Amino acid sequence: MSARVTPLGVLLVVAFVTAACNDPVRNTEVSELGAEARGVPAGPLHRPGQPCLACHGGDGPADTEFALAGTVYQRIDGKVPLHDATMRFIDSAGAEYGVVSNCVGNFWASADNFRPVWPVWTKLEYEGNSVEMTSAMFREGSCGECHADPASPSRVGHLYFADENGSLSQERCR
Amino acid sequence: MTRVRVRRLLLVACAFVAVACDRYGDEARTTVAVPSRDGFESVDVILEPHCGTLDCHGNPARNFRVYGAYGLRANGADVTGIPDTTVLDVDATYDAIVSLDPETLAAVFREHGQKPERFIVVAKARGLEHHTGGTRLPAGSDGDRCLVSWLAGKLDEERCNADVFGPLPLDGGTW
Repeated sequence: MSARVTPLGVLLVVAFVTAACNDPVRNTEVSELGAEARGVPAGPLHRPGQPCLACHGGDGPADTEFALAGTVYQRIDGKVPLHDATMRFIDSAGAEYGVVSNCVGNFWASADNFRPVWPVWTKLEYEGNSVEMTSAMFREGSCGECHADPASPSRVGHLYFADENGSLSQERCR
Repeated sequence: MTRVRVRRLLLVACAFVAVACDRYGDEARTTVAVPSRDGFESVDVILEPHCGTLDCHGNPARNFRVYGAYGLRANGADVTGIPDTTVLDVDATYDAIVSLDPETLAAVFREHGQKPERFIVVAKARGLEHHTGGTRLPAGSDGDRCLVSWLAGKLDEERCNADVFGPLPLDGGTW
């Protein structure tokens, strides 16, 4: 018996493999994030508050892979970003890593630098004060996946440093 | 079709529907005895920090849901984090765990906790069965012993109280 390889056969195999490898859940999550905001190109300042690992989780479409990433805001009752705050992480093997938030409050731990062993604990430090996250993180690297607004029976609301009673003033980021 | 034929056809259809619907009422019901709700609060405080965060079983997408302050709330007016875990949350977690695999749970309970790993929650928590969250309550740990004691109908409060904080960062380092 002899087998003939035709261009159509090759195309069919490629189409089948492409379709099989596609993750419709992730594709939907990515498409629901929408387009880039006007005037903000893809980069460190884009898409604050969104679940970063939807695109930066290692399977694309972003080239850079993050282990943990999110956005921090100044207060519980507003969405003014908190810049120059330090997010510290420690994993269950004792490895520690720290990142500093940028002008829109975005921070990220690149997977090249930090591959945590779950669970991971985190705390937020700013001007000598720190706030520790109440629970550990067990598998989710996108802070925005759980820290999404509005707070609800299955969402905890945005990540913030000061509550209703806390005072915080920060000059605008340059 | 004549009127008589239509009438006969309707009668046959009605008889068929009556018999078909009646069969549901004949199905046997089995009542099984499962571990009690009394004292389940002590087990719940283990399950919440180990299993019930928003990124694990404190998420509505999970088949086995753990309700409480760290994750999903039973009361639609509550939000994750506020207020602290309520009786309604504990009730919901109890309902979730006893509904997961009731026949096996009942068998373990009936046999006073023998071979508790038959129950899927123990098997997953011990890492004996594939579990995306990994081994959360290793065999013999305080949390595991607490859960197994509840399954056996002899709640070991001491073991439960020894593990209420869930996993903690390692000592040492700069943390």
